[in-house]
This record gives sequence, C-alpha cells and structure tokens, in this order.
Amino acid sequence: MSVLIEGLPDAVALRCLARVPLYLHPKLELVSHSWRAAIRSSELFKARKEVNSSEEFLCVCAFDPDNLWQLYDPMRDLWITLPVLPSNIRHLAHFGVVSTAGKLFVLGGGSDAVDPLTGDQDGSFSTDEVWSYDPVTREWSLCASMIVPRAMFSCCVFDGKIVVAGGFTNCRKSISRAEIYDPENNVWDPIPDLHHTHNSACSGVVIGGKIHVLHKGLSTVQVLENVKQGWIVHEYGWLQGPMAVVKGELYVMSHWLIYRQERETRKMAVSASEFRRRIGFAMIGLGDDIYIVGGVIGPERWNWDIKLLSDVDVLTLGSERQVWRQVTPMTRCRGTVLGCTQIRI
Amino acid sequence: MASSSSSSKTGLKKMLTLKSSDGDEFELEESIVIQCQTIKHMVEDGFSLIPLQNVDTKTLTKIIEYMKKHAEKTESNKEEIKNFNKEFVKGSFDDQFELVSAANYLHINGLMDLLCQSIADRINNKSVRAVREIFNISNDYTPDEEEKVRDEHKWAHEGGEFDESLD
Repeated sequence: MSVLIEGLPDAVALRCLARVPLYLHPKLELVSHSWRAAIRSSELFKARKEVNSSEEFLCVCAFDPDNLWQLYDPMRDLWITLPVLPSNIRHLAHFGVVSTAGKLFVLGGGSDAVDPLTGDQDGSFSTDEVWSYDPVTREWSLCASMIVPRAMFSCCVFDGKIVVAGGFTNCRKSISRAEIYDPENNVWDPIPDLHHTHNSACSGVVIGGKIHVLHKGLSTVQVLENVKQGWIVHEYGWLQGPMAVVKGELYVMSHWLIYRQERETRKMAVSASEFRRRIGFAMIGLGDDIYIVGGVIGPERWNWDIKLLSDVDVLTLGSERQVWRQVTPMTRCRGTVLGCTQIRI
Repeated sequence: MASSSSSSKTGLKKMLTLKSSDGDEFELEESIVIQCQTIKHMVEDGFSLIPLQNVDTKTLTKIIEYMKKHAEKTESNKEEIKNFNKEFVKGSFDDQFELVSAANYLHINGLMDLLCQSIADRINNKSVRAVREIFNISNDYTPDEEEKVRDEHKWAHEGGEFDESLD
C-alpha cells in the first residue's frame, strides 16, 4: 500500500478516513488504488469502532426485486444497495435475519415462488443454508449450514451468537429443536428444545438480554436466559402482531394501535391508524424511532390491484408530538417485507 | 495525587520547558502539558526541558494554545471550548496536516480526534477530483478500471453533487 496522504503516517490517515461516513466510501475508492485498498480494509472498520464513528443502519429485503437487500442510513436519509444475495433459491422468504460480529446473517427460509400450475413451493420449502454479508469485503458468503433446515422460525442474537428455534422443517412439519451459531468459529451446536411447538410460525425478540419466542396463536412465551438451563415457559398472554423493540422496550401493533407491552401489562403508546390499508410491512426499532417499512396495499372490493409499497414511515417515541413522518422511500425494494433488521457498521 | 494537591495548596506550580525544532523555548505549567502523553512520560522520567525535534515553532505555538484552553475545561464552559475548537480547525489543509502529525507524535488524543474529524468533514463533500488535488494523489486507475469501480456502486454516484473547490 503506497502512502495514503502525503505527509501523514498511514495510521493517522486511516483515522481520518475512518470518520468518513459509509455512504461516501464508494466515492473515496475512486481516488486511487491505495485509497480503495484502505477503504476496503478490516483496519479501517476496526478504526471506525475505535474512534466511535460506526453507524447504525436498517437492513431490508422485500418481495421485489428477488433476493436484494438495501441499507437505510437514518443520519443522511438515504438508501444503499447491497450486491444481490447469490442463493440458488429464488424469492427466498420466511428466513431469519440478524446482525452480529459486524456482519449481516440471512438464515434458512424457503422459496416464496409458487408454481402457478401445481402450487408447489419451487422445490424448496425450507433450507439449512446460512449466508453472511461482510461490509468490509462487500460480499456474501456461505457459512456453516444449520443442523436442521427451517423456515418461519425464531432467530435472535444472544451474547454475540445466533440462536434459532422452532419453525418448520422441509417436510412442513413444525419442530421444537433449537441451535446456536458461533460466528467466530463458524459452527452450529444444538441447545435444549423448545417445550411447545404449536403447529405455527414463531418469532423471537430479545428483551433485557433474554430471548422471547412467541408462536402465532399461542399465549405462552418461551424464554431463554441461559443456554444450558434451556427454555422457561411463561403464560404472559401478550398481544399478537408486528413487534419492535425500542430502547429495550417491546412494542406490539394490534388493530392499528401500538402498545408498549410489559411483562404482565400493556399500555397504548401511539396510533397507527394510517396503516389500516397496509399489509405485509415490517415494524422495527432503530435508535429512538419505530419504523414501518414497505408492504402492500391489498386488493379491495372495487379494485383488485395489489400495490407494492416502498414507503417508510417513522415515529420518534417519547417526542412531544407523536406524529408519523415519511422518510425517503426504498430506492429499489418494494412490496411485502421479507426480512428487516439493524446493523452497526 | 498527593504531590499535586500539596503543590496547589502552597501555590507552587511546577514548570516545564518545551523546545521546538527551531530552538525556541516555551515555559509552561506541568498541569497543562501533561495532556500530552509523550511529554507526560518524559516528565515521569524526570525531564524538565523537553526538546521536540519534530515540531516547529509555528505548530508548537498552536498546540500550546490548544493545551492551555483545554486545561481550563470545566463543566460550565463546554460551549466556549466548542467554539474554540471550531475556530482552531480553521486554516489550510497543510496547516492541519502539520498539526495532526504533531498531535500524533505527541499523543494528544483529544486534538487528534478533533483534527481527524475536521479533515474527514472537509473531504466528505469534495469531488473525487478535488480530493486527489488536495492530497496531491495521482490517479493510478486506467479509465476502464475507474469505470468498473464506479459501476460497482451505481447507487452511490447518482444525483450527488460534490464540491470541486480545493480549500
């Protein structure tokens, strides 16, 4: 690597470049070969952490285009497009998505593409495939496969590792098995099974460092606090609906109202009546904000068209006037959101 | 801890002398100078005259100005310090490079952070061409290569307006 900036030691130049926001990286790469090498080096991303200039992004994948992820930069209100996820499975959906160890992970899931003649699921109902996207190399790569193929399962980060639980295997049978992934060593290990499966999709949220697994149509919550100890069943009777965690608190949308759900009680937090006609959106927390991302306007009696949305609506919790505001819509992704998470880069 | 409290009680302040590469000497209170890790270590080793071969008088004057102001930092003058910092980083890129090199050599972390952030902020909105000129970097891409790098991230090069000026 030749000298980055004349008159400056490379270590100092790197500390300057580490403070340039991620969205400007492609521009800096055009300066010269050595700048490109520096911008794409793990040292730069390490320095970003050290000088506290890492940034938080929203990661979104929607129905259209196929297997394309975009990142939203809330500071600059702009969208960054990642290279297409190179899976052989078309229209990968019902997967798990999390970020840990500085990478984005897309796990399992199955094809959402349906053969119009047979109704078959494009050959793959669920996979054990795990992909990771590394912002340093800007590439997707295959990781160690899960022990069990699964779709519509709970997927959470627990102490830097990924815990998946429940869901459906490839024979469309619901499963109680759970496993943990260590991103440092790229290995999966089984952990104690869930106690209940309830023949339905499940999802997971992390609150207070504990994983909470909820099954659709089931009032119990299965909680993991300690991997060795396994799952503990609670009868919380939480509301069911889109969930988001903001500043450590769980918010659930039900009948176009967003509630703050505490362990035993809940309190109405804010109205979401403007999304009455919208389905298939994602609800997620980022910073102090709740985001409603994408989705579709479903068919109505007089209009059978399905309108794919790329809209993004944001509400800052705890602000004086709690009003939804629109931010820049996704520039590529639109329609039902298949996966949504946060990443710090 | 004990020695510093007793010296402030008696009003005696330990003084140090910094010597620039041009041979100019600056006498300063130890409490101001120990913001600088390199000098702090030398003081601990018993030095009281500290020669700084890599820092010229012009740069050292600026750095002393910074250290003096930041030694006054309290809970109540945050705004004042902020304004001082803002003024401090004004100046040409060349001046900033001199300062950041010296701050790096002297290990003044706060000043390093301030200057690196300022350099980053100033290149953020510059065009690629302006960045090359400012840093005196020759473009070693062939037109084909440059096109390829540009193509990789089409989203990043759409609609953005960048500053072509060199200051």
